[in-house]
Amino acid sequence: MKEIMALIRRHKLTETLQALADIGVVSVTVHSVNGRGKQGGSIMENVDPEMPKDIEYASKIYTSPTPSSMAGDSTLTKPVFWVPKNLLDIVVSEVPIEKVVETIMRVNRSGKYGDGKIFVLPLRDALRVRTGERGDAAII
Amino acid sequence: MKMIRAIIRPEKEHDVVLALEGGGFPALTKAHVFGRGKQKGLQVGPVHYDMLSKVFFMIVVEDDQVEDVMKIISDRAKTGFIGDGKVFVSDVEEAYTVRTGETGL
Repeated sequence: MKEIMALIRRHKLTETLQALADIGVVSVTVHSVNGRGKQGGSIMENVDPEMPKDIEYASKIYTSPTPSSMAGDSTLTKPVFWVPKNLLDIVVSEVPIEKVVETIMRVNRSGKYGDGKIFVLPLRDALRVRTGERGDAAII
Repeated sequence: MKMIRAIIRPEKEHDVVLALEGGGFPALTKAHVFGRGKQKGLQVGPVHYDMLSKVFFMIVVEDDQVEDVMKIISDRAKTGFIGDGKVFVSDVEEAYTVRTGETGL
């Protein structure tokens, strides 16, 4: 039994759910979250290459820059913003993990920063509330 | 690799994010959640608040960085009153980057 947590772009959600259903993974929990990665959120050049790369100007356009653009002692020098993402929570026992991971990566890969991350976590137990089944039987 | 899930006061979100950034942990996921703890919510006079608004952080780091992150969070999110929140640490077996297909953080 494993738990797969995948952070993906919001507009890829329907496509990802469809692809997962095709390989037999239909039970998914979706969260709406905000986040940022190693790059520290989307930066101006990625949004529009024509836009002046001036930090002050950038922060005027965006009314709610994240703390790092305001922080004097921050190690980051560029304006960064929270990027809206969807967090998929999938618990699998039968379908191989590699297949699920491969499917999510195939659908979501655009080659640009922000495609997301996938985490695989061990899971100790599960309970189906309706019947009281435990372990693998609760998931299948 | 370890996943750190922290539930903290919404008003401390800014402080904690700044401190994490300064400590070299820019990557994190946040969500606004509702919950309650051991005290079963909050009683203010005749009014009972069953669920309180909190901010939820999810951070995945290498094993040796867990203590650093927990120290930063506990330093900045602490007020000393009930409702400061909790931090949970769990194992992560593998992490994949979708863009490149690489494993690891």
